[in-house]
Amino acid sequence: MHSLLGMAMLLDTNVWLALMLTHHPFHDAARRHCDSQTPLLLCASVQVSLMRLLTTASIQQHYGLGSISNDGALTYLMQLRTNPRVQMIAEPVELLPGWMQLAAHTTPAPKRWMDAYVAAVAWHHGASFVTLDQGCASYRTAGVNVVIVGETPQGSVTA
Amino acid sequence: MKTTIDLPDNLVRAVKIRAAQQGRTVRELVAEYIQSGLNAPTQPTVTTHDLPIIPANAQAPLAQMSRDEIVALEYHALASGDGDAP
Repeated sequence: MHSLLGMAMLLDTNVWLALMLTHHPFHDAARRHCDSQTPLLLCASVQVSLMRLLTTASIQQHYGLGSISNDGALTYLMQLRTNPRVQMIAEPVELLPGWMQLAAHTTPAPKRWMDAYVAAVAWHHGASFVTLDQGCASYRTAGVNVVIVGETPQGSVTA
Repeated sequence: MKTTIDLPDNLVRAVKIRAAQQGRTVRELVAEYIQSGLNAPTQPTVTTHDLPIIPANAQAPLAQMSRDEIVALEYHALASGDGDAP
């Protein structure tokens, strides 16, 4: 795995949403974690997921977003991408072995495909993978630096 | 516009020498140097406070949702792809 980005942070889609929504239960925790000079990494798959969620009716209703069009979502994306701390990173073909390793499971686990893929992107770039999803903690055993937002060093979680 | 600025002696001497060397006026050089400084990119501390904030209804269910509920809702929204606008 590469380590060009040091401990830069690849943020999961759920963390981007927590950062951008002030009433999100993990907004403050996400900000505390990300308020540093460390680069915030964004990859294409997370970017697409973020756009999909912002324009999905069930998310808009539960999150109180009103109606956000694709054009509106793209405006937020451009604001993110022009932020000097936000860096786009590549998803090269060399991700395959890492993705396969992280996605492997003995039972059907469809959610794991994308989770493992994003974790593999972070792993490949030597970055930490920052997420709200405690299920991703299992990737630590493979060597991925998974950071669960709101998780204390003892493993309990707070918002 | 005329203005008075109290500058260190050595700085003023250096500008005068440079002006003489280049056959220009002190006024020209000082204006050029100030403009150059103003044009230089600033390097502010960039925090998450510079990230976009999406306006939303703070009374929405999200505020009361647990971590697991948020993760599940977002997963199912991505998996189902429902709710597309016409």
